[in-house]
Amino acid sequence: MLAIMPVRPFRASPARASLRPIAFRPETPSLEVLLSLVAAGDRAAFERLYDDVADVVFGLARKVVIDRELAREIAQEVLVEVWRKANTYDSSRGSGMTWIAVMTRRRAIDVVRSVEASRRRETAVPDSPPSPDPVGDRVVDREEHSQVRTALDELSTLQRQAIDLAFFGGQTHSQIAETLQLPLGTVKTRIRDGLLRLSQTMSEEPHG
Amino acid sequence: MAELHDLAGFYVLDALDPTEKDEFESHLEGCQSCRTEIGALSGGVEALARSVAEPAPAEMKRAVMSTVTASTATVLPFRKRSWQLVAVAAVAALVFGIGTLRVTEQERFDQLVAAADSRQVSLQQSGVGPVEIIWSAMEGAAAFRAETVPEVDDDQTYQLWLIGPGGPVSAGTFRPGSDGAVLVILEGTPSPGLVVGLTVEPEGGSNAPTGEVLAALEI
Repeated sequence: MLAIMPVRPFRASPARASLRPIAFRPETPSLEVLLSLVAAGDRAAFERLYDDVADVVFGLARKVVIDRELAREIAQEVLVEVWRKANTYDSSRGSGMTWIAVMTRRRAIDVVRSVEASRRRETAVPDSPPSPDPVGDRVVDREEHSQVRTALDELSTLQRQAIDLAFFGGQTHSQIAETLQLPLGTVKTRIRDGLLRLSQTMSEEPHG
Repeated sequence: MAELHDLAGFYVLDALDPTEKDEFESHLEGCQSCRTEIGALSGGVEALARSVAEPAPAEMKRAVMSTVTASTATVLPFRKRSWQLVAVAAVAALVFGIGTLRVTEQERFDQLVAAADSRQVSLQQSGVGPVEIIWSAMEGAAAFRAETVPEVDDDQTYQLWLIGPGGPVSAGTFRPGSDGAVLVILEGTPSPGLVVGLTVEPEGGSNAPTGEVLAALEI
């Protein structure tokens, strides 16, 4: 919802047309339309986009890295990246929000991995093998934010764990199978069914 | 094949290793059912992401916006690509459902012209030469077309405005092709009382028109 503030009266002499008038309603453009405008360098569109997605980007980064300050830095980088890379968004691959969420998650997981890696180097204990998956370990160990439960509560425990590990924990399917001690096929099915369930939840109860 | 199908969930979560991702993407090219499924699964990712939303710090917006305002140079190369194509691709996906093929701008224009309720209004003399708008309520879209639009300076852009009772609203920025040709598709729901206006604005576009009105068409 952008407040339109005319800088000066819009004087124009419209072409004479005896046709019935129609108008467009661009006041609430979808994220996908905003992305296309941003790709053309439209800063006003970017500001609207920012307002639409900043909380999701920040919350997602925080879910992965926990630390608020680090999450803010990541979110900031991702949002600038959205501005720079809007032209690479391909709507046939999914919604604009999904595109931005995947970008955020990737960046946040990279940061956790590099932080953990440098911590390991500093406190290297020769005989203890490094955890192959620092991000996933954190997710398993940690209490979840309460608001995550609302959407994720719709899922079975196994669906939720598997999705949590894959998305917030950055684990591959074989790592998840190992963590949860489940056959690979089961993990795949859990994730797929869980995502479909989440997708339904969203269309039943629009966020707001 | 069955195994590849199973990877759709991991694909939308971006949880495949690079080799698997490549493999899955080539599979995707020829598998309509996977493409359809990805649309649904990606809705799940969106729900997941929205479920963890948290109010972002206020200072973050200032930081991002100031970077964006200062980063003109990085946007320049992208402008070579016409925004209309990108916009139409995005909108087409919304109209026809994600996962279907994109329609090009020209195809969309042809659909508008061919529509049973297609209408046209043109202006022979405007600040940018002859301009016209073709629209169809059935198709729910209009096309802004011109053939002799002069180039603008690098720090400027053309911006289209939809002017209704609530005042002007940006319909996007564009730069003409080297031959001066412009075709902009405006997707939207028809409602009464619209004028389409054209101005030149600083690069990146404005929140409201600041430049001289070069063309205005009532439809």
